[in-house]
Amino acid sequence: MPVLKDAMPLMKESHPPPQAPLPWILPSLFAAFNVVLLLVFSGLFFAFPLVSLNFSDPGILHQGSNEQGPMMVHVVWVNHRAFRLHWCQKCCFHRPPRTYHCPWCNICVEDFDHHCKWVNNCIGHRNFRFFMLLVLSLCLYSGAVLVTCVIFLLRTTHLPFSIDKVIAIVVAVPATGFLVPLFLLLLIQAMSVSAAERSCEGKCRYLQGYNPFDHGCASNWYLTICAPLGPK
Amino acid sequence: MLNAQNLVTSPLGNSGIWVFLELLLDGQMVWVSLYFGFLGLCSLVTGGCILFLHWRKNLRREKRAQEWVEVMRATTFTYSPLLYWINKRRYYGMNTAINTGPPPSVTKTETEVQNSDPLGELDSTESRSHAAQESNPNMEATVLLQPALQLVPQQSLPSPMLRPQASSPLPIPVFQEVPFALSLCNLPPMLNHSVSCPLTTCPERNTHFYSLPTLAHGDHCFSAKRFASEL
Repeated sequence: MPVLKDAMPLMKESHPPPQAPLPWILPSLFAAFNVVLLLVFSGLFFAFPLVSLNFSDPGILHQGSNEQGPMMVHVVWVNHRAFRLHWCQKCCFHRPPRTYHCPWCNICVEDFDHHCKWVNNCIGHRNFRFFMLLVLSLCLYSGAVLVTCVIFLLRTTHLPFSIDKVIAIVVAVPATGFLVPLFLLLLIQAMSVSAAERSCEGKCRYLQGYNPFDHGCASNWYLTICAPLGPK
Repeated sequence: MLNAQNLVTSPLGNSGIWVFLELLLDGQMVWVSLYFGFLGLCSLVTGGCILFLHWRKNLRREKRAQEWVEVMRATTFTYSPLLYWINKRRYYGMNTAINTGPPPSVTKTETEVQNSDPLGELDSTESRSHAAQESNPNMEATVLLQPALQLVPQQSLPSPMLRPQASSPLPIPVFQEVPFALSLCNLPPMLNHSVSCPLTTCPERNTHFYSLPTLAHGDHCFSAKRFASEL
């Protein structure tokens, strides 16, 4: 009986039939595809918005041909709400509602949101969608880096402390430091878009809680992200 | 990243310094140096290009503003950024309107209007942040929900009250005094990028308001090239 028992492991240890070696190109192709995918998506969602935000027109408004001076008081009605227009002393015209003069760029910007120091350009009507795309891309990028580092550290917990782990920690810490404020910024901007508000206006600026620019959440998002911008 | 096997097979343990020395002896340092050198060079080139493009952007804005001044001076039609803004908002589905000119009559004398600039003067030379700021409580007010509005052109300091006339059914807003209103003699000097000169008189003009599609057809072709060149 022990002979039979000893025979069992020998039967289990029989070698499987030899398989043809996999060609080197298939795994390499998959790895190359991943790198290309990363580059394409990074370039599309990260580099393009970042570069375009540096140089894009935020919606600059200039004086018209029939300006009548600061003494003339203009009032614009927007959905049963009246706005008295301010006179811009630098550009010498009456600014439409939500148009503000940026002291850094020295221009009046339509639907002015803020002046972004990271790209040294104003964020306004014509490039707000690129700004949102950039913030979203940065959040995804930081999140991907952080998740990758955490997964690596978790999977190598049993291994001794090595330089790989040091580098993973060194990369994960700034990724976290960027991700938290970026995510907060994304949330705040998303809430502002949903309520058709702008960062420079703050909250509760509208009388009786009525925002005449608010068309509903879906329409506000469509107008901000997808609606045609029209000619400059 | 370094291969973990180098640390395991190294007879000297897991010290990073010894790994560095091993790499140096192996000759891989050449490639690492080349990599970081190329990376630094690309960073310098990219940073320089961005700086150059920023400088070029400022120059183009100045030049475009000057060209706009010339076009506005030479043009025979009337263009207003307010009309442009209103037309665009109407295209977006908002109910917008603007009234200018002397009113036919005045009925109600206590209508207050919300200030369009609740943050005050953002173009002040004093430092202001773009975060939410306190609005000027003197400028905010309630608004009557009326579909039409008659505006009184004010050539001097505005007065808060207007003479009522009984014939018009439309309410007339009464604006608060604007203590910071500038006189026409003390207007700021024209900057290079700003357009037009302040007018001391209002000459009569045969105004032809061009619709947005008409302007868009001529301006869109012109602006598309500039947008492409700007990027």
